[in-house]
Amino acid sequence: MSPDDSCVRTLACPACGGTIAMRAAGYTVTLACEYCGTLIDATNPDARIITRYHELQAFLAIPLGMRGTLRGVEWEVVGWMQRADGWATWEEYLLFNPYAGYRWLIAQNGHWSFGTMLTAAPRLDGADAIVAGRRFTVFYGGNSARVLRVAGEFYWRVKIGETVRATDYVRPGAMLSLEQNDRERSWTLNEWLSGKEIRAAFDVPPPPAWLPGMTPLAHQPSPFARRIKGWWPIGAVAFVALLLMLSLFGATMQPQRFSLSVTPDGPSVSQTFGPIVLPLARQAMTVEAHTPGVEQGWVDVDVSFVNRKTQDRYDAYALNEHYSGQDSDGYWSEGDRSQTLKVASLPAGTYDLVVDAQAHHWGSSGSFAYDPSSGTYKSDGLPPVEVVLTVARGARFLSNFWLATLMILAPPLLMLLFHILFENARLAQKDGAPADADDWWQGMQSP
Amino acid sequence: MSRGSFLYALWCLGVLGLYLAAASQGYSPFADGGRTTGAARAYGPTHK
Repeated sequence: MSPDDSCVRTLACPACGGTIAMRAAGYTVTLACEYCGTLIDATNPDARIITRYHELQAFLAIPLGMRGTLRGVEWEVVGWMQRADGWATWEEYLLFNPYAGYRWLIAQNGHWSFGTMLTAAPRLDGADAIVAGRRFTVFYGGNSARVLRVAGEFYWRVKIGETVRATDYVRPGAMLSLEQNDRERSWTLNEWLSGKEIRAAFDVPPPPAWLPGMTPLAHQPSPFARRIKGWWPIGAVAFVALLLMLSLFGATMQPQRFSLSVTPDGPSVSQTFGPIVLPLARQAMTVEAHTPGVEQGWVDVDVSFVNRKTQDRYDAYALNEHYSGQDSDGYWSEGDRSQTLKVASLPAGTYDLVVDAQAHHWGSSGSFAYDPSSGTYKSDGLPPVEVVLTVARGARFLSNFWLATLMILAPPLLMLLFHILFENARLAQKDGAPADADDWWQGMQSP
Repeated sequence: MSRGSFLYALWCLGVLGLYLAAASQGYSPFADGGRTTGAARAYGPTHK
């Protein structure tokens, strides 16, 4: 019979008398009454009852007879059956188009796949199967899929309880199913449908979003992989822009140099320098505190920018220290004779730099006396330590740069974390050999 | 461009805008500041 001959015919259900539409007349072998669920032999002129099935075809997400366009072809839903393999239960809708033939819509946990029966067996490569250059990894093996319920029409004699041995090969976005019994074996390629696609075709609710703790389908593609791949070029551009801004902003200018000297283990020395004029509404200041002469000791340097008009203070503190010695491992030294302080957001104005410095020698108290000629304290045997301060307008805050980098990276990193959790849950269902690097790498591929 | 990518691009623009604003104001949440006189300070070598 040519497709042109196919048309909708009706027959009366021998069980309830209801009028049943046979949509793929000429192809249909088995027909289930949509009113009482009785299974009828459509090839018999008297429409013989195969089996009575008293449950209604309730809760079908897609009513039999509904038409929808999927991947460029208008399909009519002609049959429905529910199957289970002991681990999961799923529904299969048989689609029919007189020119394109039959296809399957498989629904499980709210997710939909579009199944096409292959006319040639795929090439097997070890435990993998290859179809059209796409490699599928064996995922489930040796399960028995059994028909639980059935409604509508089919191109073979469907029986409740009919069982086939099923092996599933998977790559994200597609599943290759081998179903076999004693008489035949068939391969079906099931391609995962996005919520948008299935909704546009048959107006069904979109699949539920995956949340940690949920088990994804074996061939469900990670929604996070797609985001990571879409986001990384954006993140890279943003990072380059950030590097550019780091180089453009924060240069120091108009340095001023001040110095004072402090006696180790002597009293604190306080000195005021200035004026320092800040013309911008807000600016950062960099103070480099350098104590080249500190040895076996430390210098506390407190600096304050004091606004001459408002007396507002902006403080910072540096600890310069240097120690060295000799032990069984040889020479050692530690500490830093120089510290760079960065003070943020000083308002415009004229400032004084107030410096309090105190030097100490490690391991000795020392003795010192006031020297009126220099106005400083001198310690016996310990020379004064010079504190050199270089004050400049502007500051480059690397902390801002790293914080911005972290903020740019945070969303892709979060997606990566979710992707790992998703793939972990997906691959945990795999039968046989545990998931390897190839499985994880495949998880990053888009369907 | 998907909606997710668009939102992420918007997020990146926001971060860059914040960085630019902080740079122009000379602001950093991690800047030095706060006089520590009287606070506990650790001195001396840690070499063993």
